[in-house]
Amino acid sequence: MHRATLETVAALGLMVLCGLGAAQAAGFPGASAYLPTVVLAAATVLSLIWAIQSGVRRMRGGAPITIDRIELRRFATMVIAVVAIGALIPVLGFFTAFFLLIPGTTWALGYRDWRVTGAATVVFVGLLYVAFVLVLERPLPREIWQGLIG
Amino acid sequence: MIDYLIQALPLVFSVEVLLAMAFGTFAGVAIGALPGLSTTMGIAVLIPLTFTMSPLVALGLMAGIYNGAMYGGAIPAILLRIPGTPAGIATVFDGYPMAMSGQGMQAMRIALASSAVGGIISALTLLLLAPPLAAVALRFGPAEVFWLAVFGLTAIAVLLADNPVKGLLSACFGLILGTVGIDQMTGNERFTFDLLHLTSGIGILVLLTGLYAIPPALDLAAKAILISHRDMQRGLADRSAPFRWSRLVPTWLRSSAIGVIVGIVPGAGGNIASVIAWREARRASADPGRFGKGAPEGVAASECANNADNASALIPALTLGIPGNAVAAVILGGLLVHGMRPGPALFRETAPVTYGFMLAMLITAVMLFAIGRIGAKLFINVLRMPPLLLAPMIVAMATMGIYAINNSMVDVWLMLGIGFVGYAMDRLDFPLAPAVLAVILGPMAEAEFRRSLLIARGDMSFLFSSTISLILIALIVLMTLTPLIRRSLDRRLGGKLDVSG
Repeated sequence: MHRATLETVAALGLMVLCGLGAAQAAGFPGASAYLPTVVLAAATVLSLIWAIQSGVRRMRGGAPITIDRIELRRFATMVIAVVAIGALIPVLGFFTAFFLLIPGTTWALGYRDWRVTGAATVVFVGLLYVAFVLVLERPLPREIWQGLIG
Repeated sequence: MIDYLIQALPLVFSVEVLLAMAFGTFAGVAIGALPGLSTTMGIAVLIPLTFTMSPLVALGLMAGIYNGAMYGGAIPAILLRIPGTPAGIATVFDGYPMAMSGQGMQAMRIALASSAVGGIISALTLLLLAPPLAAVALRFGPAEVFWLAVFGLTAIAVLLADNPVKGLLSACFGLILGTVGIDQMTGNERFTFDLLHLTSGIGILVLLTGLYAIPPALDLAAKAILISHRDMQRGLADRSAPFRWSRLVPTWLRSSAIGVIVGIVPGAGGNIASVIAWREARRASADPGRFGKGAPEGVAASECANNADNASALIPALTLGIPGNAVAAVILGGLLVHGMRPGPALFRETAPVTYGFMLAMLITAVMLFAIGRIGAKLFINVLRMPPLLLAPMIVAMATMGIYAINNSMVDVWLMLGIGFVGYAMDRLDFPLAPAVLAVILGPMAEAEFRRSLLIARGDMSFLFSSTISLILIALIVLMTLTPLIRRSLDRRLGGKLDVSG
């Protein structure tokens, strides 16, 4: 796929989204509608201009997008890790989740020096504990092992 | 002005602010040294940590990161030919050849001293120019403030993007994010989708961390820049002869002036300042042939200019609410987090803290020299940190920081979602700074617009009634036409305006 084609599709999608948003914003009561309606109407027009610019660029040619498979695999791994961090924190607690996910993600990304990974994880999580629990005294979700101990 | 400076001095020299500045400078150099990490990311990840601190402690930390990271970018630029930050690009030209000829440590010492000199001159300029400019801006009424906000937004949107359409779309994204929640003036809900959590709006920290911490983490993992131990050792040899520092003084003065001027211009960043300064240093040299082959003046020009750009970029940001670059936009977000309203009000409502911040820019520029000298070896070792380990750590820290503000997992998911949007924007060449600035300036512009209409009882002509408003409108039109003017000039000059090449 060409980059210009991708941009045209993205621009058209954004245009539809902004158009729908502008219609919704126009329904806000009184003066609350001014800014969002004007901004979303402007964004609809700008998306159309972007789509035309990309379309014209596509017609003039250009090289297709080259995808590095290893880079893509690492990116996908990182996306999964980001979602997993968000999903596991309420279940495991911050520190337990980090102890599992940081070395796990690093391994899945392809870094295999366990001594460095282990030491860095312990130091990093320790620093987070000092900063957020001891210094800033922020209340954090209960760690899963705290529930098991009682 | 003097009164406020006297009030600010004991605040800045308190133990906790000094510690925050030292830690910020240290962290900034380390962040700047790591290719793939940026100043904006460093500040965005650390701002949530400062949420419970006093404003000046937080601002001292930000000042340190800002000054430190700009120098930190020179370390991989000199040793590995990889600029740690975009502003380190011109440092590569002479820094790497110096390292290859056994003068790597000398090049780093020159970069450090030049960064400190540039930072000090820039901070002094900020202290001298910002107060009178703010005094002028303080006379602005609601109509003028509205147009000023529109001007700031247009300038950043048009100048920061290669394609102004994308810059303006980024600004629209920020403006819409800024309207989410309950409208403060009418009490109506906007874009809340019946979700209770969204009624209080999307916090600026959620946006900043999402946009500036998650995309670099994804990129760092995907690209996984590997640095070999052999490459680093090769650059670290120290076979330098005694060096006469006084020969750099003219370069420092010239480059500082260039950095300060470029910094004040919205949209131009440290990378442009450093390239212009390097070219000017070569032009002024009696032996321009040395440049690009390891001339110490080349390293000095680049590093001095990119640090001189730092504090001066805050002049329009602090006085008018128009940031000179993306870092200044993030710092404006940081001010907002601590209850400070960007723009001339900073010099009226929170003057001692604002003066304290300007002094912090000066002090951290001095601290940079000491910290850089003491920790030189340590900062070089930062380059050994595997990016594949660093990427999940950035996400972990951002997640925890955002959760800790409101104890809310919804905020965490919002931050991660905005992070993915930010990554897509980045890949599609959308600048992120206009979105951040729009979240800051949008509500301000909307409130001032409505206030103007209330004062004028709905008469729109009030918005066009003062000379300042008309000047600002003319500037907005000029700014919008800038890409066309630039393209036409570029065509006429045969591409000579392109400084990035």
